[in-house]
Amino acid sequence: MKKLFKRFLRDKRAVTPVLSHLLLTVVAVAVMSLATSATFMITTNMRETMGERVIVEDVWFNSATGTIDVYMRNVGKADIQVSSVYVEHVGQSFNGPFSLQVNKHGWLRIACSWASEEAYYIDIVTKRGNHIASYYKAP
Amino acid sequence: MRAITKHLKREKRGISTVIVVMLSLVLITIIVGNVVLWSYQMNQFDWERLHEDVTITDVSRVNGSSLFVAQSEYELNIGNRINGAYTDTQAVDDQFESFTEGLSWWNTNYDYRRQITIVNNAVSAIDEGYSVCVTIDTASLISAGKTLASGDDLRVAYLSGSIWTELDRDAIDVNSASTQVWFKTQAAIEATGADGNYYVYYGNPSSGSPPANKSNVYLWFDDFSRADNPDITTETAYNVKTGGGVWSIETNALKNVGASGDPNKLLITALGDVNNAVDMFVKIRVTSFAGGDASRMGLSCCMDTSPSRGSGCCGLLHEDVNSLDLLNDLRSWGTQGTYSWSLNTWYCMRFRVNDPASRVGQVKVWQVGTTEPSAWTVDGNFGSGTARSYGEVGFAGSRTTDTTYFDDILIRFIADSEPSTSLGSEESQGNNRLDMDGAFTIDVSTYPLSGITNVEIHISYQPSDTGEKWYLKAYNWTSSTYSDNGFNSTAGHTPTTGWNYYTVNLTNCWDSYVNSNGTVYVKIVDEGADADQTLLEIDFFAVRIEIDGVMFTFENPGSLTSHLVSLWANNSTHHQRYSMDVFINSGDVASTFRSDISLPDEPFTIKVVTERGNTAVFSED
Repeated sequence: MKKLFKRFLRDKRAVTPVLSHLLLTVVAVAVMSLATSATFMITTNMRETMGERVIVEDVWFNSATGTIDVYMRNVGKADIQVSSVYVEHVGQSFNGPFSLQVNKHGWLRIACSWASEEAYYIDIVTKRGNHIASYYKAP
Repeated sequence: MRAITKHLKREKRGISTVIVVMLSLVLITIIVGNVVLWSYQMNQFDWERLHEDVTITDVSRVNGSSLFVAQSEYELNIGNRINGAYTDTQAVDDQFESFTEGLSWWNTNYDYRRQITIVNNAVSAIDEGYSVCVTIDTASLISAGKTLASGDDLRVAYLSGSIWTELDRDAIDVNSASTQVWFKTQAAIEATGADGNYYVYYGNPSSGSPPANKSNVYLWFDDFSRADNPDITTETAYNVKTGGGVWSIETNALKNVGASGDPNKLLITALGDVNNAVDMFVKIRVTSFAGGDASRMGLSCCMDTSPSRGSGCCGLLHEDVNSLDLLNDLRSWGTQGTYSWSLNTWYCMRFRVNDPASRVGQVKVWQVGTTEPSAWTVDGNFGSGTARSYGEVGFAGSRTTDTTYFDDILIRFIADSEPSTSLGSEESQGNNRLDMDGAFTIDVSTYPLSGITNVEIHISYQPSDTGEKWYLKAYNWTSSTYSDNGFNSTAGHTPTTGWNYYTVNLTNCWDSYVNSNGTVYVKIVDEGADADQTLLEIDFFAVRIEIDGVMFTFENPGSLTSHLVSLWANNSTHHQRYSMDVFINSGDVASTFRSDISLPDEPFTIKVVTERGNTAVFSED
């Protein structure tokens, strides 16, 4: 074993091609892995963003609590999480964190004062950046 | 391409790199393809959502009642339908259905009856005209004063649909514990089937003579009780004799004086070819007997023309006064048995060939006035001669100058396994009762059980007798019996003259009386047996339900089936969500009753949400 190692160190002619071959392979694998991972990550995010479908079943200007209660249903193919809520383009606090799995539904309660007969533009933004927005008029 | 291949063959170091790159490209392609597919699916979802179209056409409070009438004829357990139909009980009007108490009775002069059930134990059907026997203890009936000692009021009646027919019957050993009553079946009975349309009636002290023509009870009967006739072949029924000898009627019996010839037979030509197995019975008395092979007398069946007419299977007193033998005419002697008999003495002879192809036969003889032995005297075969098939039947006469008298010939059909009969329990004409059931079906698709708050049974009726109570009961699906447990009243209803309206409330036990499919079986029954045969007229009979809820009607004019998943009932102060699970096909209208939904004060808005996320709105001001 010792003899073989010594012979390998003495004969330097084959080292460079082997190393270059190995190096090229490692670089190729690394680059392509990076490309594949990046593609996967980008498309996964894109796919989930595309798959988000949330509807507002009901909006209740709740005079008992003074809140605007929005009943939402996730009809899409990806779980959603509400990241922020805007009423008349002003950020509002809500009963967060508010998440809905696929086919689930529930109340999103927006702590926002309102006045009767007024129309409000309510914009609910998901974590992926999708907006569920519309005008709703208080009774 | 060739250059690239050559280059790769020369420069092998680049191959692994190419493989890595290609694999990665494949992976990237798959990932991107998945995104494209996903995008297609979401586009399809959006397209479907865009084309979905559901509307709410009506929302109405339902807190009334609904009546459900009979949709089929009432089933009478006891009693008779006189006229009308169940449809006459579906509305309060001048149409009604009539019933009477009591049983469908053949003749009201007879106080009692018992049902006769005939069971065919054979592997094939038995035709009508089969003679069957039922055994009844007339000694007990006579001692109880229920029937006459003569048995004249012992009658057999047959019920076909609603038509009664009295049958001729032959009652044997009246005033004994085992009186045999023979009669002829009026309809075929399938293999292993049964017929319970026969009844034996009794209990008529002024009864006259019963119909007892044995010719109508058996396939053939003749007691020769008529004027002497030196040649019976002048009669149509016996117009063929074969071989030698003389057949005559003398002192109300058939007389044969033998002579040379073979076979010597008197055929019952009135029966023609009898193509079924028969049991033959006759009384026989020999007054002159020469003895030897030519001395033979008895019964014969399965007769054909081979080698000459009258050849058949015979059961014979033969050769000496100790022999009873089976013979296949002109072919072979069969089993030869022993029976000691005497001249100038009346004996009974029974002979049968159940299956001629098997060449097996039975014959027995016993002295008149003694009990018929249960076993056959000879139960053997007809020897090795060629088997015969069914054919003509008749008497076998002697081939020498013997003199034999025959009387009371009786022939009846038999099966490979005789039918059995059984008697039902005694029914009395005086037991006037009415017990009838009706089926009522609540439309649970429109009025689900969850919305029912109360169930009532309503009847409008007019009995001819106001002296007895009437009870309404319902089938309890839990205890599997008719009951009125839990009803608001179990005391029954005493009617007055004219039309009576009677209602019972099933209170909070109603769900025990309503099947999950909405079926309610209701029974009306009288107080009990009495002497009056009440006429009951029913004008209206129904089950009434009380309901409380909301009826929603949806329409789907779109091209896609819609799945409604939630419903909102909102007004200015109250928003309430209810889960739904209703599918509406394209072009369909669907109604849904919800007892768990209470509509808010008006003005209100009803919204339904589909699984795809579309909303339909109905507003009520």
